[in-house]
Amino acid sequence: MTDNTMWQGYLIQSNGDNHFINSPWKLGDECVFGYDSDYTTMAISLIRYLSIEKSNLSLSSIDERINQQTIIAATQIEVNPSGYKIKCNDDASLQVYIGDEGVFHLAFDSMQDIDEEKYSKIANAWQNESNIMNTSQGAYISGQQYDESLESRLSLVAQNHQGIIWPQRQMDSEGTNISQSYVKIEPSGTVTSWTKLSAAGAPSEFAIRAPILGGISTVMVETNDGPNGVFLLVDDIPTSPKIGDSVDIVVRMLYAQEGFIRYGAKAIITNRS
Amino acid sequence: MLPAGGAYMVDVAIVGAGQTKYGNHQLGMKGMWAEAARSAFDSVDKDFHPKQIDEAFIGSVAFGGGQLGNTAALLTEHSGMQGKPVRRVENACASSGFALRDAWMAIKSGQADVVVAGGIEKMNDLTPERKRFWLGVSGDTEWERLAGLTFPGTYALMARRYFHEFDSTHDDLVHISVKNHHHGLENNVAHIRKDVSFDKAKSGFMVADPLTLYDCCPTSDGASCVILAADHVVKQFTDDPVWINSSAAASDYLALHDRPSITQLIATQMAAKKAYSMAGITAKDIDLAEVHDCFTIAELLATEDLGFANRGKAGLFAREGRGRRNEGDVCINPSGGLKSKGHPLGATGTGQTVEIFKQLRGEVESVRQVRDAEVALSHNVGGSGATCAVHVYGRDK
Repeated sequence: MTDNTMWQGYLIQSNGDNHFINSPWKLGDECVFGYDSDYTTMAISLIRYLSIEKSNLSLSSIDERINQQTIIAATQIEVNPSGYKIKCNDDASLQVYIGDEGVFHLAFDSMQDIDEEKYSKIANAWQNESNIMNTSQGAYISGQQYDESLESRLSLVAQNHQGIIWPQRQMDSEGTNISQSYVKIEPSGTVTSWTKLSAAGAPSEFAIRAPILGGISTVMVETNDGPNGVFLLVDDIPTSPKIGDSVDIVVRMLYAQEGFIRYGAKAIITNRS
Repeated sequence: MLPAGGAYMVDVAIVGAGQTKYGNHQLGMKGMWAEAARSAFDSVDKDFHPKQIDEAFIGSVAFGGGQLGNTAALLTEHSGMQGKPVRRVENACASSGFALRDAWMAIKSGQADVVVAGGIEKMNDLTPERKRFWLGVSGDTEWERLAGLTFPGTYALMARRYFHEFDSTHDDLVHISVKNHHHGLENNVAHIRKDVSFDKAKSGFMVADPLTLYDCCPTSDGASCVILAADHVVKQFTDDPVWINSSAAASDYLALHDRPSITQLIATQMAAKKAYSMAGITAKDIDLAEVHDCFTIAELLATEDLGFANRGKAGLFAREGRGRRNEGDVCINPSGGLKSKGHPLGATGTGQTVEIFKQLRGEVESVRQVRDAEVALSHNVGGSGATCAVHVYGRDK
């Protein structure tokens, strides 16, 4: 059995081919999700963790509490009968395994107490946001538009066309259609600029949660492979960014609208705790 | 293809210009447009009738007001222009800057002699929630908006990077805010008419760090209208025209992260270079400039991109007050700019032209008059710099 490893903001344990991931947050004796995490974001992180050591990972079953479209877009994992199973637990943890389910224990010593009031407000806010009646009153990302770039957004799939292009582009400056010769950008980079938006300065999609979080922070990142991107910082690690900070790009919940959650890439600062 | 600058084509003059006051209007779109058009018609020195108009271009983002489609047809039927070929022009906050350019090109091409360019935006008739959905509509919704950014955020990213790369701090932006508030103080059509102290502007409510409330333009209702005429018909309308000596425009990547640099607006640089070349002048010849300061950092960047300061030196330019009216090298935003005069998105571009028309003819409030002004420039930016229109104006052709 491995010790608890902190990975993309979560805690991971392994025992043979059984792997366990849990939120680092606790409320009393209960393991609870961070402010922008759910089973889907944790499953994506665990698959990515396993992908470092194992190539050709596949899944045979995915717990219904996980968004299947999102996990496949974010990890590009295949589904076949000999693959891993993903099973969510009743608290903020899940397992990925082959064969029999393993027995793991939460490492409470490695976990932190979450602010109960804030946690409750955020949970209510997500519930309100996810109501199908919460619809756009103007400009927004439609479901179709969100889906079109899902793979590029979640797994940083880029094009290799006289250099790496991300986000993907249709034609180059010569009017030539850019080929579908995909490469994946390494999900890490350096902060080149940042801002913290008050609730008044953020898009209305964030209007319910931004006041509870005390604003939201966005960083511009130059990835190690070259392309730049803008990303929110994860919601449950309140760090004030600096230009030059190192970051990892992870998947978290962005916001909910029209009854479904938009997932996206967010940044975690890695050179400071 | 005809030579750039229309060397063999007609010259274009402004013969009339008017606008509503910017602010929180009780009037709806039809009433505001009619007021701006009336003001422009009445400003023509000799007899003028809207029937003489050949074509009209009206800029609008259609933020509020409820008439998204066929806006121009609705508005022109309320200003005596029914039956004329009209259309709405949309290029975000640069909508009417591009409407002006389209009108200029219509005359240059020989297809029209008298053309209206205008703009309108009704922004304060929406509920706060709907307004918030619309703010940022002209940024990159697919990537920037999902990263929590609307324009305060994108311009904040530019500001912080600029401070990192150059000898500049937020204090330089405060100087710009204080200047523009002072310039707009006596402007009868300005949205916010109050002097602001350095300390107050420096300590404003933080909207998008490092930008405070005093770095951000207000949300304004307003309409503006200018009447252009070909040189061979100008005398019918006035003996005192203002000439549009060049019109240029350019575009850039919509999203900041696709641009090689976020401390300069390439579209502004390209448009300015073309505009100066076409007019046969340099930045040093400009007496006054209406610059797109939706955020104070936008004016700071434009100061360099338009050539008024060298790269990295706009902070010093602001600190030294070199953009102040009748004190500096060039008067930047004599109207108060978007910061003080206001920013009714679609109306802003031709609103800048209204100010220049009056400044060059010596018709603004006396305390606001830029002395000996002969050559002027307008700079109208769409979004965070994806589109830009630059025009150069003169008392002489």
